[in-house]
This record gives sequence, C-alpha cells and structure tokens, in this order.
Amino acid sequence: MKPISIDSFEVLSEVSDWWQQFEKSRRSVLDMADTAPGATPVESVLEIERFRLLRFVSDTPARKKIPLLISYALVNRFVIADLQEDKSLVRRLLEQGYAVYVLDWGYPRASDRMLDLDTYINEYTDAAVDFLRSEHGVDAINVLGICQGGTMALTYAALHPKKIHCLITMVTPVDFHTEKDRLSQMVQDIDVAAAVRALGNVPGLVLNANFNAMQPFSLNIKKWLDSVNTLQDPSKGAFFLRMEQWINDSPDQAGQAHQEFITQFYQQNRIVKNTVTIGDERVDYRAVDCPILNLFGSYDHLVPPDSSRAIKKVVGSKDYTEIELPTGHIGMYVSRAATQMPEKISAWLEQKG
Amino acid sequence: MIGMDGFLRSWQQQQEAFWSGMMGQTARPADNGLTSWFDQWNRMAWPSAAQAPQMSPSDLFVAPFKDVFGQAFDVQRFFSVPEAVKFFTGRELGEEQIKQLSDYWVGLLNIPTTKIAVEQFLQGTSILQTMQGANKGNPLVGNPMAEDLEKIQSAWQETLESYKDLLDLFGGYAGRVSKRLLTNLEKADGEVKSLKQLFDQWLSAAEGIHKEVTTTPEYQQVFGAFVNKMCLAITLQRDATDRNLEKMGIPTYSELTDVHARIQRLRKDQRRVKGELSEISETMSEMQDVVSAVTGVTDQLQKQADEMAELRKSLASAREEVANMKAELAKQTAETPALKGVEQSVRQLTDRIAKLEAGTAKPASSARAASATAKPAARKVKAKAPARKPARKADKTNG
Repeated sequence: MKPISIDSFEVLSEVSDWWQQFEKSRRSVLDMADTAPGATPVESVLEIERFRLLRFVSDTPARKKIPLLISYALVNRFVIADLQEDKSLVRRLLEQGYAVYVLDWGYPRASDRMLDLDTYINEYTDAAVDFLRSEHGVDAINVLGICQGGTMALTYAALHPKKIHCLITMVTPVDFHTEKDRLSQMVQDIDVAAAVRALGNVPGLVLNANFNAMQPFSLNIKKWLDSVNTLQDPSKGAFFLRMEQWINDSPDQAGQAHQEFITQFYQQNRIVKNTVTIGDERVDYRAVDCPILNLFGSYDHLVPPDSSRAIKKVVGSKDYTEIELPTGHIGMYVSRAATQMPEKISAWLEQKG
Repeated sequence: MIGMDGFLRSWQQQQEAFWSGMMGQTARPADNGLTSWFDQWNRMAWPSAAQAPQMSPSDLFVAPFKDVFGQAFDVQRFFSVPEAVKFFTGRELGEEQIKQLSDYWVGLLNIPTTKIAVEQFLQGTSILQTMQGANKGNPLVGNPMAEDLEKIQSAWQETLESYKDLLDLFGGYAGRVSKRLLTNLEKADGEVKSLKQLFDQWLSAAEGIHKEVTTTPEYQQVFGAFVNKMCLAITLQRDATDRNLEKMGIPTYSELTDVHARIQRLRKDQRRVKGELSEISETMSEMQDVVSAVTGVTDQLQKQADEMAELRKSLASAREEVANMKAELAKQTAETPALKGVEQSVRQLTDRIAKLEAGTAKPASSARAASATAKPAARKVKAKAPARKPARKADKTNG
C-alpha cells in the first residue's frame, strides 16, 4: 500500500480552507479589544533603582498573616503568573486570602551590566523580604520561586534561613547536569566571561532565539500555521496573543549576573556540589531548614523533572513535599493540569501554619 | 513590550511571505525569528555605521543561517535522495532531470542555499580587506589601525569557519529528514490523505533529526567554538574602536566598563557599611537597654539611701531625746532624797551581787590551777578564750 494518497483537489481545498481561516482569524484579531497580558493591578511598595517590589491589589482583604512573595526568573517577566483572569496563579492565591507580592527585576540597561547575583539576592531580595517582615509584623515570610527565580529563592533561603517560613519552588532547576537538559548542553562550551565582555548585557533576543532553536520547526513554522484556528475564537485568540507578548517580552540580562548564573549553575553544577559562592559568601544549602513544596511538570523540556527533584538532596530540611503535574514548562501556569495548583499551594501552606 | 500593532504586522508579514513563496512570487522568505537573533549579533559586531560593509550586515549572516534551517525545505537536497525521487514520482530519473526538477522547486520556493552563504561570506571578507588596505595607506590612521583590522579580519574569518563547521554538522540534513519521513510513513498505520498530515509527519521527522544533531557532544563543542570566536571578534573590534576614540579624547566603552565596575564596588562598600551601621545601631540599642536597667537600679539605691538618711536623722533625734531624758533623770535623782536612798540601796545590792559573783568564780580558777599539767584541757580553755573575746567586744560595742 502506498502510504501517501493525497488527491490534488483535496490539497487545493485544504489550502483554500486554510486561507479562509486565515482571513477569519485576521478579522477576529482586529476586533479584539484587550489583549494586554496581566489581569491584576499592581502597586509598587519598594523601589531600588530599576528594581521594584510590587503588591498585587485585591478586593479580597488578606486573611493570612504571612505574606507570599513571588520570585520570578530574570529571563522573561512575571506576567505569566497573572496572564489573564481565568489563568492567573496570582488571582487564585489572592482569593485564598494571601497578600501576594512579586519581585520585579526591571529591564537592565547598559549601565546595569555589573549587577551580580549578590546584588539580586542579598540586596534586592533581602530588602524586599525585610520590608515585608516589617510591614506584616512577622519574623519570616513565604516565598514562591519560579524557574530561575526558584533557584535564586533557594539560594536566598540558604543565606537567610531565619527569614523564610515556607519555600515553594516551581519548575526550578537545581541539578543542571541531568541527561535531558538541552539548555545546559548548549552552553557547556561557551566562554561566558568572554561573551559578557563582548556584549555587556546579554540581549533578551539572543536568549529567546536559543529557546526557539530547541524546537525550531514547531515554534517557528507550525505554531504560526496552526494559529489560524486559535485566532478565530476571540477568547482563545486573546490568550494566544497574550502568550506571544509574554514570550517576546524578554529583558536583557545583566552581564555579570548572567555570567555567574551560567558558570556556577549551568556549567559547574555547583548547587549539587554545595559550592556556590554569592558575593564573598559560600552558600551552604544544608542551611535551608524550612518546609519545601516542590512543583514541576513531567514534560518540561527546559527544566527536566530530575533537575527539580534534586532539591530534596541538597537542602537540610526534612519537611519536603513534591507535586508532579502532567504538563510542560509553560503549562504549569496556564494548562488545565495546573488549575488546582493554587489550591494545593494554599492547602500546603495552611498545613504548615 | 511588543504592542498589538507590531505583533499583527509581524504576524501578517510572516503569513504573507509564506504564501507569496507558495504562490511562486518573489517575496523573500519570512523572518522566522532567527533573523532578529543574527541582526542583534551583527548590530554588536558593527557598532559603528562607518565600519559596516556596504551590504546589509545582517545579510552576511542571516542568509547562511537561514540556509541551515532552509535545508529542511531544501528540495535540491531532497531530490538528491534517489529513494525520495522514486517515492514521489514513481520513476527513476536521470541526474539532469533531477537537477531540473530541484531547480524548479528551489526557484519556486525562493530557498537560500549554501552557495549564497559562501558568496556572501566572501563578499564580507573582501570588504574587510578593502578597509584594511585603505587604512594602511591613510597617514592619519597609520599601521596600528591596520594591524587592528588585520586581527579583526582574522577573528571574523575564524568565526565564519566555525560557522561552516556548524553547517557541516547539519550536512545531509534534508536527506536524513527525508529518509526519516519515509521510514515513518512506511510504519504509519493508515494512509496520509491530506497535506496537513504529511506536514505533521515531516515536522516530526525534522524535529527529531534536529534534536539528534543538537544533542551530540560535537554540536556542543562546535556551537561553543562558534559563539566564543564571534565574541572574540566583537571584542577585538570594539577594543580597536576604543583605541581610536581615546586618541580623539572621546570617552570609550572600556572606560565606561571601569566606571561601572567602580560603581559596583562602591555599591558593595555602601552595603557593607550600611550593614555595619545597622549592627552598631543594634549594639547601641542593646546598650541603651542595659543603661536604662542600670539607671533603674541606681534610682532604687538612691531611694533606699534617702530612706536610710531619714532613719539616721530619726535615730539621732531619738538619741538626743534619750540623753535629755537621762540628764533629766539624773537631775531629778539628785534633787529627790528618797530616790537617793533607793539609789544607795541599789548600789549596795549591786556590790553584794558582784561579790557573790566573784565567790562563785573562785573554785573554777583553783581547779584550773590544779590541773595545770593537763595540757589538752588547758589548750581547750585557751582555744576557747579568743572566741569569747570578740563576743565580749561586740557586747561592749552594742552596750
């Protein structure tokens, strides 16, 4: 049997259908009024240069005493955690009665290229944590670290264990040398110091291109061909456009911090060896003794599950819980599988007091 | 942040370019995102407009890069796989026929080829050589700049050679994709009846092969070498620019780097000092607590001292009163004869008591004398004696 049996008229009809769908989707897109990402208003409560601590404003007054601070990655923006009303991790957490804050790292400019991880962790994050401790009258706060922000939150918890009540890590890389870690493989032979010397800050576009290059045909061709179906539906279409805006909203990376992160974490895998140095201080991850909730996706191609799971081996805390969801990296925020996640986080926090 | 308009424009451009290509018009292949990536690199590679070659810098790199991915669509290579030709045409074609067929498809789809990439690479090199030659003859610029340019040129040449190494890893890519596609189709359960199904099969094969290539240690090394060499070229170029700007007294990138590094050091110093200040302030606050505790005790002591002073005063006035009363009593005694007789009787009585006391004390002293040789007993008495003395003294004091 010949495996291909395509009738030429059928092809013409397919092409013509696609073209009609394209026309429909184009009109649908033009009619869409609001496609800006971000569902919840924020207010800035602390500012240091380009860094801001933002509070998500809610109609529901916060009932929980301990606030929750989100530490998002330096790559891309925290907006994915609050993309739109029905797909907002932040909204659900606010509804659970938490006061939710986020570290907004800003958009580094050329003059920020010397900012290092010490500045991000021991200056910006620490200032935010101290502010919240004082504002809410508590000794320690809850932190939700997402992706690279999770790695930074874990490092902060190791350096300032008394200030963290509970740590939640979401799609957080810890072991950077797992078999399926393609990002790690890609950067192993790059002289990052030389790259930062040459570039200053590392352009967000370069990072995005690298992420796209991991699945070039799906992300650069198939996605666009398929988008005609999605865009015809105003609701799905708006979601697609918000996602695209989020994906392309990639801040440049402060050179020094990027160099330290790639070298110490991706290339030398130092968390696992417990040899990370931030500023002049050696980080001892065994000092992390707070309860930990670790969330990750089974099909995450950017942070493989084994990379996240490694956290339980490096910390001193014996109070460890993990939840694996049948989804990918981005699906952790917006997929159906992740719908119950805010409730699970809330229930776990409730249990920890 | 990308605005709605920008997004729509880009999206439409991509779709239109795709369909223009499909319909055989002469539109350029759409920007698939990689263009921006290389544009970015090239903007950094050519910081000064004057240095940029006449051709668009992005074309120098974008075209070959597109070519790598273009190979996936490269019908020229696809049709060089005899199995594929046979599969699709059902005929064994001669070499010339295959070439005609592939040329037709290449023309139709406007696909860039490696040949274009190499031509553009050579064109870029010749521009650098021209610049180098021109500067050698320029008395204002002189040899140092020419040497710089020579280094830069060689760095870029090495970069492009690395890039060619990267291309080589994808050698025969289209052929491999085709073979994988055919294998997958043979294995598939049903027939592929639509273009979409065929596209999905092709996509799966193309991604699969791409993943296989990019997860090899060779790819890791070659990709790393390519990026490292490109960064070196950019650095050399910028350093050369810096040297020339410095001669003209214009602030340079390296000076800014120094300034930023100093600011960062100052910022850390400031944080350290802030930390120390906060420690000092904590210590001061602890000391203040101690001081206020000590002050409390002192106040209490002072209060007690005041009370003592009051008591002393009261005692002194009581003593004075007693003395007055004694004096009064003495005076009244002297003045009253009956009381005098009583006093005398008391004195006599006291003397008799004293004598009686002396009488009872005698046998004890004679016994002591009799047993003078009994040393332990004597020692016992002697030992007891000093203990009594202070008691008596105390009695006296009290009296």
